[in-house]
Amino acid sequence: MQPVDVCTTQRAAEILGISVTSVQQLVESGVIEAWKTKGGHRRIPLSAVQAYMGAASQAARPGALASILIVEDNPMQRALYERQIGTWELPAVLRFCTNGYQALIEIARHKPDILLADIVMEGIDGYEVIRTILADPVLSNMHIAMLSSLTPEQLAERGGVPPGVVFFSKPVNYDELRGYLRAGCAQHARHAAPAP
Amino acid sequence: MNPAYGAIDPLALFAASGHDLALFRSLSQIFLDTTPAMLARMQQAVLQEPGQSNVAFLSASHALRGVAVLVGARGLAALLVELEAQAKRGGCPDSAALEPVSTQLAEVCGEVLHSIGAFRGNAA
Repeated sequence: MQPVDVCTTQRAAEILGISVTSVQQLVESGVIEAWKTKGGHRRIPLSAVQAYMGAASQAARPGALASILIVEDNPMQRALYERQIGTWELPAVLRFCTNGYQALIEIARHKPDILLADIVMEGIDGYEVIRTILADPVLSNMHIAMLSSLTPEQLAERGGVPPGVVFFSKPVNYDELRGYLRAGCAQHARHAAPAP
Repeated sequence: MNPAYGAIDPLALFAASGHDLALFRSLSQIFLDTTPAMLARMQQAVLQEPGQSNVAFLSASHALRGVAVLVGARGLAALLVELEAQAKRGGCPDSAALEPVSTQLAEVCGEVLHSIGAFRGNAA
């Protein structure tokens, strides 16, 4: 196979619009074909990436992975989420957006099962993203959590936490976040499973 | 607080990194790369017209406070909380009010830089 027909994990993540950790999980679970070079670097055939893209664009299949979208403008915090969530072995694909505008496009395109949104961001902030979701009945099943270092007073000034939305204070308690995501992924799996 | 550090707590970021030293160093470098621009945004905000300045200032301060908490810079974070509260009460702080922020951030960055090379996951 010519080098042009393969790509790195990083490139596959860029093509698929998901995190590097998610690509690694898909490879390790056998969903995407790959191999390693003598130096230990993973190589993925572009055909396998394209095949996964095709499958992922279809409607949800029984047993399909849950999708988690994280909207976070801070690169340090994004890296921490990717690291922590990546170690939990959730049956989920993780995507990131760096601003609210990008998030609204991503939500319309992929309708994630779980949304974790920072509140204070330049331009369209987390509140506007969440208000948009809550106003759309098509997205009523989405699990939504806000994550912020706003003080309780600052949060109250902005209208507090909307009904049906979970709030996580930063710095994030990752044990609590893991429990929340596990529950969301379990619910997704139950709904996606075929009727007995 | 690690006795080798007064302005930051490297154990806070190390724990959040899942005790991954490579990630700890990578995140520390991101801190050094991104915080000068955050401070610059705060400094620009206080020079804007009244009415516009508060929103810009609070946004910039919030961003810096978020990363300060991640590296365990409690003093810097507390200072920013106070400035944000002051901005809420009586408008945007003036340039002089940002000098302690600039001083503390320089100290924090110095320790973060030191921790990249010296911190090993427990005592430096």
